[in-house]
Amino acid sequence: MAHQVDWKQEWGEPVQDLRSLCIRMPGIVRFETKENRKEGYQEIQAVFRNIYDQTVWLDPAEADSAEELSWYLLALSRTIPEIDEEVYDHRMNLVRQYRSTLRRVLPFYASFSAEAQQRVQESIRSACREKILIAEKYTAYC
Amino acid sequence: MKFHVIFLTARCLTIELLEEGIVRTQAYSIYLNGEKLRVSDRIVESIYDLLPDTEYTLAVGRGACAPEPVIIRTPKEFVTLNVRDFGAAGDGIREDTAAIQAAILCCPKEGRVLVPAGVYRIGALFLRSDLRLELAAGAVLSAYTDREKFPILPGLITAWDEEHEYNLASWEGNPLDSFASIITGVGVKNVTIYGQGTIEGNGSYENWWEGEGREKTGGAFRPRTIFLNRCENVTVQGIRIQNSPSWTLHPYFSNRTRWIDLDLVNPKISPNTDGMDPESVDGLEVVGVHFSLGDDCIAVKSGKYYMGSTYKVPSQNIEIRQCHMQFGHGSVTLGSEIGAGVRHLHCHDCIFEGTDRGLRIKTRRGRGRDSIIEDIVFENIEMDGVLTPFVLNSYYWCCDPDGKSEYVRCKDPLPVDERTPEVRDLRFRNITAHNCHAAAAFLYGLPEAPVQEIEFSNVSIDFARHPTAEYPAMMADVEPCTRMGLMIRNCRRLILNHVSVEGAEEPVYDFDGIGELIKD
Repeated sequence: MAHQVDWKQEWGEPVQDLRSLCIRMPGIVRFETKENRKEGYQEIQAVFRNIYDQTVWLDPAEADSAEELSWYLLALSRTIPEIDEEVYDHRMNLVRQYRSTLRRVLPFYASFSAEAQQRVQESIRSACREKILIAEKYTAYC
Repeated sequence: MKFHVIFLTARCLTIELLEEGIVRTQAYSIYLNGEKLRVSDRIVESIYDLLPDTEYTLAVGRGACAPEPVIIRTPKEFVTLNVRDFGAAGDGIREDTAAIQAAILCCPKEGRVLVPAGVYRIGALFLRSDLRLELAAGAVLSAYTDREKFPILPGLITAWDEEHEYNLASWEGNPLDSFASIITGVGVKNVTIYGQGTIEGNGSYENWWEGEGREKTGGAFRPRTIFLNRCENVTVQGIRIQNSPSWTLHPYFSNRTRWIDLDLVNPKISPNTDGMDPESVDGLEVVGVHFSLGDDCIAVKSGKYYMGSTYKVPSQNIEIRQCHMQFGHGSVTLGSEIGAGVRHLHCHDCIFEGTDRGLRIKTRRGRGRDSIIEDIVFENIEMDGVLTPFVLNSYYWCCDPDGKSEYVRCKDPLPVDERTPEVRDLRFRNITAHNCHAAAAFLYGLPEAPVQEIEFSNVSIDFARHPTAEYPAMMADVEPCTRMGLMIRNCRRLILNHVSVEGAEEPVYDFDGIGELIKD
């Protein structure tokens, strides 16, 4: 029962560990989609929105921030495919967060650590598969 | 007898009698160039086999009254493109999609694509601007039911700038991948589809209607029979459409469309086979259409939350008249996907027969603050055998993944926010509803956003001798009932003017949360 994580408490303010968000959130959303009638969707949205509002203060030029942002991009890109497409506004909210964050991150991509670069690349590949990015614009990252 | 010509092409016309009643009247004669053409009792009647650029004298009359003629001139026609000349077989065996599509694409302005008598097996056909497509008497466009015969239209295509998008398809209020419809128009203008022919969707429980996964199989949602995406000035007249794969007619972000003298027939048990689903449209006229269906006859929509809040295009300026709506869930439904609202809808001079509900509004928390319903007028309506004539359901639980969540079903007031919908004014005038079953009216607004005004004037409702217990609305905590009177909740101003309800159980008037009651 991996879905019994109390993510609301764990992912309340402040954001402490985006790596854990990345690992857990896709599974939580999958559970909500398939088993829980999407009743937790609103709160999942709130979690991502809360994190997004905080990431705008992160400076991608700084190494620690780059790490956080790369995990956040990966979390979004792994979560988006798990959202039921019939709750389209929720999906598009995350898509907007992803695109907006990626635009901020890419100018600093070259200065990222190799691990952070890999996370960004994986997120881009997933976003291209989901057709929320135009693949031919990102061949350098794929 | 007074009449006017409401539709005229080079080959046919449609008249509408004035001040003669609803849908049908006493038998009368139609005269063309002084000769009696035929006898009819229909308020909306069509005449075919006219010639282009020709003057006609048209009259209608009854008994000894000398009919007053009207002179009309049919429009010019440049050429006829007979689909048989393009290789269509019309034998009901060989596929004719490419031949008919070629004729459509080759048709010049003021030209006509003629589909003569015969059975034409087709997949998806795409319209082009300035097209006149005639389905002659005896012509049947018989659609395949194999999914591979239908291309997929992507719901949303991301633009190069990754900020904009191209919305091509839709399913129940979201921009989702769908199969192209039997007739699809994307961005076309000035199109007329007319005639006495038939579009046979061939929907059945062996194909499109089958099983739990029927909505989306093969990577896309079910096709409609006619789908118009961002089209303008399109008229569909005369034809019969039957056994639609899903919704029958789906004008989508399309303006100035007219639907005249159609016959829309789907089995009563067929799933999601609405008659017409105008979605985010401006200027829609539905005249003389007969509906006999498995779901809502007309369901006006404007998208779920994403489409409603992103595009903010309501459905508005809609007139429905002289229609006969049989069976199905709702005669005229608003919702449930009304994220951008519905306004200025006038439904008059119609018959509702044997439907579950007459007017049916389906909304819910989460539709959003752009979801405003206003200026909805129903008048001169005759209902018979309708389970519940008037329904406003602000807690509609169906068709959304979170429809049964506490947020949607809660009857206590919740904070008004960007997801709260609003209903402003509903007016019901000169309406009789005989042989009802469940409730005379079931109008339930949200406590945090009460309906601004509801008016009943000259409304008479009675119940069947042996009514069947049914749910008056699809919402939580509502049980099947019979002989419920006027049940109204959460309305700022309620006007009751000459309202009679016969055969209801006490309390006949069951009101709560009414700000002001004005009663004659």
